[in-house]
Amino acid sequence: MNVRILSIILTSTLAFSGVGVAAVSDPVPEGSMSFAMSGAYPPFNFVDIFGELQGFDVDISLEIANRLALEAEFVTTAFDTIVGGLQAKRYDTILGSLAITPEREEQVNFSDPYYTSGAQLVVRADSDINSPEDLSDARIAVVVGTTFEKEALKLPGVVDVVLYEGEEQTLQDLQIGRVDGVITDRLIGLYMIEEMGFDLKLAGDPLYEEVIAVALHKDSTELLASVNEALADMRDDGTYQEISEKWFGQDISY
Amino acid sequence: MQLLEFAKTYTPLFIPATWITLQLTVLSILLGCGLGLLTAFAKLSDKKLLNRVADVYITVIRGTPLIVQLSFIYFALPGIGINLSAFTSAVVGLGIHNGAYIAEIIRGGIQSIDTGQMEAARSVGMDYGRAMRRIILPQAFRQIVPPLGNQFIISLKDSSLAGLITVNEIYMTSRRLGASTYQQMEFYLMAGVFYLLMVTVFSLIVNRLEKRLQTSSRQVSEVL
Amino acid sequence: MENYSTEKQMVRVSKLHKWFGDLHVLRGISVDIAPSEVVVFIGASGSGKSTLLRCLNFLEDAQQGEISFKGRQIDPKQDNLNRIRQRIGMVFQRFNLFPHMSVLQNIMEGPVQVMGQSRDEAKSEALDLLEKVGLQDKTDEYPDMLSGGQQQRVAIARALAMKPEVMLFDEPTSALDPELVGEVLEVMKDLAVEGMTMAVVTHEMGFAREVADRVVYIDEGEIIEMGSPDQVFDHPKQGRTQEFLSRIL
Repeated sequence: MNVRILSIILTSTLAFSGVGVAAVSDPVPEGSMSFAMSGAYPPFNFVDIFGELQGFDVDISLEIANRLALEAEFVTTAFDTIVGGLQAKRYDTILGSLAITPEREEQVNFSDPYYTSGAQLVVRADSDINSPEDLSDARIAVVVGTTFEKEALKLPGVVDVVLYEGEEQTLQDLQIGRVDGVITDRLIGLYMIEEMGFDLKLAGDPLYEEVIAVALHKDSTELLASVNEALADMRDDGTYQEISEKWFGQDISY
Repeated sequence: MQLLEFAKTYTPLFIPATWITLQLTVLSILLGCGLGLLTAFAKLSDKKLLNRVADVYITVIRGTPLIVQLSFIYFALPGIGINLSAFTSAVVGLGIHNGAYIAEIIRGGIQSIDTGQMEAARSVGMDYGRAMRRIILPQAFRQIVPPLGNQFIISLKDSSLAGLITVNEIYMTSRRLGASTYQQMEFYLMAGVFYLLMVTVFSLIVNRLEKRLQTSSRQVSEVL
Repeated sequence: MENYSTEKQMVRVSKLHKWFGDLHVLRGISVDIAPSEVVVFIGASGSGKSTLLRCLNFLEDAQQGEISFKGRQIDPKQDNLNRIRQRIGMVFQRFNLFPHMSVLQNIMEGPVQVMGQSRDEAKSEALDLLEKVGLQDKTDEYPDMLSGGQQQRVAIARALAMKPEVMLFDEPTSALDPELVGEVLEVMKDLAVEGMTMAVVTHEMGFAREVADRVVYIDEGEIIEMGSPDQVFDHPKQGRTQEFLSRIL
């Protein structure tokens, strides 16, 4: 009985906080702004051997904070609850390779995109699977809570989707044969194969295109405008391209 | 009400996961009892080597987190050629983990039996093994059941960590469903309810067993 | 110190030394027990008399010295101590009955499990023994239903079921209420009369006087005096013996 009442109270509170009260905006933060990411998504955001958070997302975050004359604070949190945390205003933004989806757009506001990628099937280098159509009776590994899980389930040749905590686990288990394929971000796939020496290859074209942007609470309309301005500026003056080259050897912008 | 609808819709999705959780728990407890029994006797033995091995096992397993042990078995062992499935890794890991605690439970139970019992058994000419089977263990059984029942319940809750090595048990199921529907709170609550129900049922069974054993350690010796 | 030098002593203890850690508990004990002899050991607590008894059925290991049984020296490392213990019965101060078995089962346990006797044979002999100790109406009771004296009598029956050649009694009545002591001593007296070889550690001087063939006074791990009950109780030769007796009598 009590649990029911508690649930009702909690769900209604959440519902209320979602009601668009668009006219009022939260003020832009002072002193510092926080960026949330999983920290488990190299090369976009990851923790290096010295315990430092690194990656493309991190560099973009630092650049944005710089342009807004604020200190950048970083928060790492599990990917599948990262949106919930933003709604609870535990941090100012999510800059952690969060893809724009209609469901997410109901919960948060997105900035202009800062890169595009796509869901990509990755298989072992010696596999005779060359595109998602070649899959049959396949076990596919994905990271829990990502959009890739839904895509994997849509494929006809997929018989089981196995959920992992992070990309390094999915690709490693692919390598040793526990799964037949991994669906992950195309750029991740490339990065892993080339940088980490996995004996894997990309199979076929991306399943769909993903547009990645910065997520902000619906109340943070002022901050959103500032972030968009910063993104546009860094493209215009070439800073964005520098960061992109650094991590991917190419310009990955939209 | 909304929550009742929710429960109706999603409960069926939890049934396979509940079955997995039950299997993990039961199998790992069985494995744990086997390992625990061997280890308890190793520790009670007067062979120093056996004592040492038992001590190392117990110290290492009780001194490291279960999630580290499970991750090691599933993610690290393939590096040296031992490639177990997620379910097997979970059973092995949970079993080894349980074994260390059960060893101490059994040893404690045996040592709680008055030394005079062993002396009397030896005095009529029984060897150590027979004295254990006929005299000590039947009496120790009664001391062992309550903490063993408790370990069963702990094992049930520990099985949730198998989700982090890709086993489709209750916790992982609630995570996956919560993430894809953005209703994390409802699904975590649901998972909680499932575990609570299972723990309650197990506790009742264990209590019944304890009551029956109040009067019948006498029958145990006939089994052994 | 006199030692009976008859051949084929039932038990012969020679220069026994035992340490518990640094504590030198038995300091060169030598004593013989002849067949059908009843030897009573007396002494203060901590004198080592119980330890000596427990060495006789190898519940304790003596570091030095020899123990022989019917002329044959026992080597604890080589010999099968389990078989040897079948021939030596032991009765404990705290009875140590098996609480999860009935009185009858307690007595049958040794013969069936260790000697491989058939259950029927063991049962019939157990019933005889229960009658002998006066508890034939308690066959299916469990130990926690019996008084201390009854439990100890069952313990004696249990030891006798193995048909031992020697019976050891370690303070058999010390844990009993005074009014229950008599029934146990009666059973022990009967055993002595029937010719059982017995080694008894006790404070019951009346029993010693009546039943013992020999009384041995032990103090601080050494035999101070040994002789017939009359000799030791009425005409002790050693001062220490006298002191001890004056304290307890």
